[in-house]
Amino acid sequence: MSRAEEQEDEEQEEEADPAELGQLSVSLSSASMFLQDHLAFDVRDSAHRPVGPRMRGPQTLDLAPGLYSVDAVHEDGSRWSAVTQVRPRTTTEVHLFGSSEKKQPGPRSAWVNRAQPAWPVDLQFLGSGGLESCPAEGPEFAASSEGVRCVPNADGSFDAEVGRGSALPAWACFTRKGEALVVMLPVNTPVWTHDTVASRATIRFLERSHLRAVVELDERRRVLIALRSRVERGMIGEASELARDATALLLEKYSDPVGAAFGALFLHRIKHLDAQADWVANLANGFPWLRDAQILRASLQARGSAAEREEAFARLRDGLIGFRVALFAGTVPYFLFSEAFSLALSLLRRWPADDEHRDEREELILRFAPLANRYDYGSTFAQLNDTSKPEAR
Amino acid sequence: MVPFDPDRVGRVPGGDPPLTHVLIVGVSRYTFFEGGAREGDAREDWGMGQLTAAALSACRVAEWFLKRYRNPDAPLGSLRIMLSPQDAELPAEFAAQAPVAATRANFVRAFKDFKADCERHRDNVAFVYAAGHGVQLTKHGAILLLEDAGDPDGDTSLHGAADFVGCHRGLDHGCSAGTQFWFLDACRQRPEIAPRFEIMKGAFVPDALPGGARASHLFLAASTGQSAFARIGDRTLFCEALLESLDLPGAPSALCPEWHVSAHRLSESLTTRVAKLAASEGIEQAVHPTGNTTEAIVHRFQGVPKVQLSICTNPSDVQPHASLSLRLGRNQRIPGVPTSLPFSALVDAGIYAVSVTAPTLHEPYLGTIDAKPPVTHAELEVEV
Repeated sequence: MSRAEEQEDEEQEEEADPAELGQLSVSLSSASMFLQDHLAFDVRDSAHRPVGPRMRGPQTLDLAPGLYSVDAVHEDGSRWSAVTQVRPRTTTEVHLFGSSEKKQPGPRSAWVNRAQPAWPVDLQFLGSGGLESCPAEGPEFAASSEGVRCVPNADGSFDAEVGRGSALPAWACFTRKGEALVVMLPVNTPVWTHDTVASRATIRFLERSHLRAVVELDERRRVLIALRSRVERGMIGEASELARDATALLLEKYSDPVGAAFGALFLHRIKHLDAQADWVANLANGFPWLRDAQILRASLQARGSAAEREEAFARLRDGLIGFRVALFAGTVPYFLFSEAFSLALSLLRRWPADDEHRDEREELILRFAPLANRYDYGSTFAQLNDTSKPEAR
Repeated sequence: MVPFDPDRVGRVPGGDPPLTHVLIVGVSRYTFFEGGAREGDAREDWGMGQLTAAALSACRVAEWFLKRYRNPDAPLGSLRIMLSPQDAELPAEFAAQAPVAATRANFVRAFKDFKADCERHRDNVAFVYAAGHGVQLTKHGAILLLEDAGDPDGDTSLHGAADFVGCHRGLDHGCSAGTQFWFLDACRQRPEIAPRFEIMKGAFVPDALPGGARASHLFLAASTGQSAFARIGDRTLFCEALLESLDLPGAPSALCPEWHVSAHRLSESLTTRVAKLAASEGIEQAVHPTGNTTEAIVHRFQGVPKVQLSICTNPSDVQPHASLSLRLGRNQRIPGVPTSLPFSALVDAGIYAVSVTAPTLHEPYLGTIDAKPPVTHAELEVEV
């Protein structure tokens, strides 16, 4: 045994008294007060055994001296782990950051005040629409070119930034080589919040055989970003915990009904929504344009009495044929999330009372099922491809 | 059903302790589809062909259950497997047992027996894995096409099909296995075909009953096309990701004191691995976890798993004269492991205190390494 090892052994013996505890203090910082209190972490000993239940918020633990790991999930869904040593009669601090990386302002910020670059030859912006362009009683959105800008990237690719100015689009349509793509956008509009800046999003086009994009949210919508990242990574445990806490908050405090609907759709998918039926009703009643919420409400009502099923069916039917995006050869229903469209079709097919509205359901299935092949179910925010020639209205 | 010998997995004759029951279906051979033995007799042309890896993938999943599955609370009690393979697709040990074909009639019989087994104890565990042609129009539903799909003698167009999500609902009730895991590994059909299935009747679907299992996880995975389903002659991408995920131990938790695979970690691992495998093949494939996703234990490991731990230093030229010391949790010296650098050895998973001494080092290096299975590599930044 070397002298260094002998010294280590002596140190271990000094530290080995289990009665002499040390403290581990864990804290988390996030720009979101909600996430600061709700992001969970685990503390494990050197054999990876948990030292207690999963924890949230600032915590100070009394622990026997030794090595420990602190494991958490960042807001962006990436896993984070730190190893630390607890010494007798000493407090060891571990600080978690909500974000895995600090975003630095890049060339894009400098671009804001420059002239609008031209769209690349093989990718054309066709039109966009917003809620404000839709009369309260009107069923369709009109196309406009406001609120969507082309952003060249350093690698030669192009993104589309949406949400600048007051005309905040709810969707945008692009074409490339005869193929059209409609992307639904999770905007907040001045209809219910003054924070128009947080309505920005970026459409990042992917290199695929077909036209495909990913919608990136403004980083200030941290709760929705954290929820989405967990859902998309299959983190059903972390996602359900966050969704249960966050959805009511998104609806009531931060006025982000889009985020609330996303959380609710996820809870419905994992059969945890029944306990939240009241605020699903609030969401559907408070935001009638949000067809995703109408479908959710219908799915809960459909399991009720005959009268409730009647109301549910009306919601389902109106959800499918209500607001539409009319850029394709035909029109498509206005659902923000592909999950909501999928749920609508599934409800039609598996209506709790099989003899009710059978003909009408079959007619709706025949009418809308072909659209299912245009939905990209791998995308959270609804996007539809069409190779038929699109025409702007 | 074959191949399964109940004595090998300790079924208790006459007794009803909690057990794990497994149903596996793999359909590569389609009699009435293009290239099938009776393609000319098909009820109608669905434009579908033969598959190459669904039956083989089903075999690999069955092998895993027979050789590796461990759950002391509900040991393996039955394993039913139906295979419709292509010629020479199956491994010899499966081919030798003349597997039951994955036809509608056999599926209905096997499912009813499987359901009855699951309903014998509330603490039973149920696993269902199916691979083959699938029809999936929504994230919420999926139909599995069986070997005799398109049979002109069938009662309906979908006679040779099983409503997979309907089967899941049929077993997810208050008197069935309390913990269930369902996996559909489907080759999704071309767009022109799929909408018709949504209104076609006749796929096998059992009655739904009241109540629900404590946990009933359903993983739906549909590739975007036949070529994306699997590497030729190999497992499907989903099967590959599933087997890798089942062999990836997670640390003990409040739910399980042993190293284990939990349903939530399986969901995360499957989602990310399938996406990664698909991306490596230049395709897209997504996993859609649904069902009652209450946390549950999928598989347990005996003892502490080993980690292939490798350690080196930066700069590397100190290594020939350096001495390494590892202690588990700072207290327990690890006997028998090398002390030289670079280091490579199988060690127990855990957090290690590491020290490096060398004549050229400014001072001994002291640090920690979190060794997690299956492989951990650490590069120690030492000051010369």
